[in-house]
Amino acid sequence: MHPPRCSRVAAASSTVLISFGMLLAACGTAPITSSTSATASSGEAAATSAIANDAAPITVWVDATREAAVKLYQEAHPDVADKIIIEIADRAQFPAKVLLFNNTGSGWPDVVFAEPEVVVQVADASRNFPADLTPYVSKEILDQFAPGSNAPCTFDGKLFCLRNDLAQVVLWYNKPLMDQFGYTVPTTWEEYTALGEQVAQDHPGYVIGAFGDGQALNTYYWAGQCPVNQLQDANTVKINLADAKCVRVTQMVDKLIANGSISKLGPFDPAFAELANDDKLLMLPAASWYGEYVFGGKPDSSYYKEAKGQLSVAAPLKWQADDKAYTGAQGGAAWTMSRHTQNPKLAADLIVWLTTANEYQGTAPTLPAYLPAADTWSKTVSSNPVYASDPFPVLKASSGLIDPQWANVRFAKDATFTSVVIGALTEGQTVESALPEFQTQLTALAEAAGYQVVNQ
Amino acid sequence: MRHAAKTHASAPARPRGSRLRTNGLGPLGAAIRVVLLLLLAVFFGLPLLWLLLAPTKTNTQLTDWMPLAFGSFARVGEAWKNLTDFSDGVVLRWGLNSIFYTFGSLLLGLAVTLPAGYGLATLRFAGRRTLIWLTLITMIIPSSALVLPLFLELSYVRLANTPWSVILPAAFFPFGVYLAYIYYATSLPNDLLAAARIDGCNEWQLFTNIGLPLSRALLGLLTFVSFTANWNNYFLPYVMLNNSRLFNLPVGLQVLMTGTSALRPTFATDLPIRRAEVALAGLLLVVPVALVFLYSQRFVVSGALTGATKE
Repeated sequence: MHPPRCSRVAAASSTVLISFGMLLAACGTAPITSSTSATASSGEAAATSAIANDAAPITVWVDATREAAVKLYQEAHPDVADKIIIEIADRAQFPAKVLLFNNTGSGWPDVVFAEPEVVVQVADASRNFPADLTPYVSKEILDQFAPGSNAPCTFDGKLFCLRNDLAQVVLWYNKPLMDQFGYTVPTTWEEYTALGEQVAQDHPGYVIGAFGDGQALNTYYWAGQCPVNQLQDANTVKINLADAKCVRVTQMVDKLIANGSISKLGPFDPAFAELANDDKLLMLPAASWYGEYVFGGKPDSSYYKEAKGQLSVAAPLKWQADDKAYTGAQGGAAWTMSRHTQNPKLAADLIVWLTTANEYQGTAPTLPAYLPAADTWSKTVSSNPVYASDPFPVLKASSGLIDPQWANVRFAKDATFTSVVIGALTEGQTVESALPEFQTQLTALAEAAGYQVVNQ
Repeated sequence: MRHAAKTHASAPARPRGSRLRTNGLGPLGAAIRVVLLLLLAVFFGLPLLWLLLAPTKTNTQLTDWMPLAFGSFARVGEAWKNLTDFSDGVVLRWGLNSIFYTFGSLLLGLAVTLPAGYGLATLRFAGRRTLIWLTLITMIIPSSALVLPLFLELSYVRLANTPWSVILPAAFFPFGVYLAYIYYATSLPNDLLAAARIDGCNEWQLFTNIGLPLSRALLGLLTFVSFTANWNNYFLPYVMLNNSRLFNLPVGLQVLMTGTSALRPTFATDLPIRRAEVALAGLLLVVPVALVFLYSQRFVVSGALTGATKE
């Protein structure tokens, strides 16, 4: 017995249609492909042909911490508050999302909060996202940022982002412990090395540094001006780990790791936090935000659960052979504007306000890059009883010491350092023995990212 | 079957009241089996237990206390408040979105899958074999490989960054179509359909009055598989959605984790989202799947055996 022909046809047709519909949903089709290429090329034109519209809304991508900052702007500017759409976003996704938007020719956010190393990724030829902020930020304002703080935002003379905060490496130390042992706070890396040797001999078990994660690269090699990623021009990078400025750092850390005064643990390793809890951490070169967010002096802080005036800070260390002290950084973000925005006036005004206004920067979590706001911000740290003395003068003075030669590049140097150098340390090898492999891998990554690699 | 019955009948009778089923392993074998099972239970159960206990502790207690120590219920309440205060309660919104996307895709998927599988199993029409092959081929293509063309397609029709951009592609369920086809092809007696046709049923009536009522196990299995896949769907909504109010829980939790110091100690923030809050959010993600599994497990077992034997 067979079903009636009409029923068979109807059922077969519906099955075919449903299945075909699903297939269509699953597969890209020819018109979409052509649309893709068309929009990609129109994306190029958008940079010059976008018509500014002061009434257009703008979308701002921030993390949850900075959401409050944009809301403060809305409160301060009620006339434009409804034109600002805030989206909480994971900025690690930002470069990938820009590629998607470039394919469809729409969807770009107008303002994004991200680190300069993320901005450099979206500034490459395939993404071509950020707008030059130079026409929107006056020289008077730019001059009041910490010296060099906007260097990581400047590409080929264009200001692709404006720094929000700084995270320069300073020297944190336990003052009561230093006093008790009769040690002098070092001012040079040579004195730091000598102190490490003395601590290893007289107070074994106490540590003066951490070399267990990717931050060690920024802490020690950045401060040493080692050419790990020095840009010669937009597409040429100098990588030479055999340079004398790298060798001096390598010899120092290998010596201090070997005698135990520099720990092979990372600063966020629970075992390292326990060293701090037990007052075995004599000093630590680390970012400016460690005082509040790692040492803390609060019950849920990583290092110090109680505030007893035990924490002091000293200026970044200097290599004797150098003309002045240079330091590295562990973080510090910025605001960037899309070249596709239809309302650059509002977007740029928001960025300038967010980076300079005391209403936000005066109470921000980390050290503002804009120095007048930093003065207001100083009250938030000066009142913390964990400090033996006010840390702000040192933090402010060191904010301009970040070595500008350490460039934001389009390859993952930190992750490679962790896998190659820290991996070798974990296996009992020395830093020196791992550097040739680090050099090889960095070179390959840089070349894959389109750089010409030089070593002179 | 006869052979199996004979074997079963000749097996020695198990003494009544025996508490340890040895299954012919002997006391030593049975003991080893119990120890192995206990070890496996501990291995797989401990992380779950830790996750359950984590929201009861503060960040410091999580690192300083014994891993399986219990904190306090008050701390769970505090973690819940911190979680729901995050970005004006957006976590609850993500939860509602997850429910909406999951059930939207589930219902739409079932509405398409069951008739398609039924049609492929019971009707003979030109191109049927090709459709079955196409279904099989799309089954083995990783869904993540389709996400980019889907994004381009939905952007083209201006559906990207809307709930439809998650619901419509997720309703595409070739595995379900194939499973329904196998189920109906092996479990639905042709004579039953023929009798119904003699009684005057058309094809739609055959499907709704016979096909559907006889497919409860299939429905249970498809519901569980589809629910789990859609509830845990990360990559599709991650690509499709930019509006944070539209995120589902997996994408939202990624934002929660990367935008706070919970799992990124280098992230300096005053937001009270720590590991306990993230653990609580993880539980929010896991509990619905566990509940749906508990409800549908008997269907899952019987449905999974569909087509395993041919009577």
